[in-house]
Amino acid sequence: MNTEPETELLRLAEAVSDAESVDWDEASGAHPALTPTLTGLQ
Amino acid sequence: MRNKTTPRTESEIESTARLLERVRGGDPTARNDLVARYLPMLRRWSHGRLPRVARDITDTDDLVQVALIKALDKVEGFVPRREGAFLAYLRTTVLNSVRDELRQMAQRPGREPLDERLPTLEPSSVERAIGKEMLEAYEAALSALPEEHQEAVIMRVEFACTYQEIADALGKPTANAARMTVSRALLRLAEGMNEHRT
Repeated sequence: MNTEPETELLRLAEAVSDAESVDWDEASGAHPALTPTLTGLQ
Repeated sequence: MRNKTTPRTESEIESTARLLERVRGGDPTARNDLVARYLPMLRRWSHGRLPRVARDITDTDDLVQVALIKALDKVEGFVPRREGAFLAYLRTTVLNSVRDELRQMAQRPGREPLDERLPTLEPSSVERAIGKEMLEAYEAALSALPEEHQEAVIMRVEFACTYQEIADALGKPTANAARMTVSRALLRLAEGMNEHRT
């Protein structure tokens, strides 16, 4: 998925808030620079 | 907290503030009403957040009830801007009261040495699940968030409140607005946790 990092982060935060399952490996692979923040969300 | 399918009405939201006013005025009935309202959800929350030693030493429900009553004793100087702020206040006060209680119990004659019974040595369920370092990062990042974001995270993540309940407690116009607030708060929280760990 090719999205802006901030948009992607907010989408993932919404998924976490909704208690939806998230493919964190895929998210980190698509946006490696976001990995530390993704760890916190996870 | 309440039946998750039943939206909270405006009168119910106001009643927490009214109950607090009555508590500050010394009304014991209002105290009982607040205990009845908040004790069940604090008990559910405590089973994940209290260190294991707290649950081993005494009945968790009693511990939480005593802590809640102590919190209400100190409520005279607390005027929450939102219901979510009151819940965040209760959470902090109960955590502190439980820690104080554990220290006092550990220092009584016949007890094991203090260090062997400190909460930090007996992790809570949450700590066991995510790790001590991550929990410390979470608490540090949470405390650094704006109050509204703190309340949003606490209500959604720790108390599993519905978006409608959060909207009512934070004064948001819709459940979806509350959902956006929670999402943004979680994002800021994750960024804060990253900063704390680096």
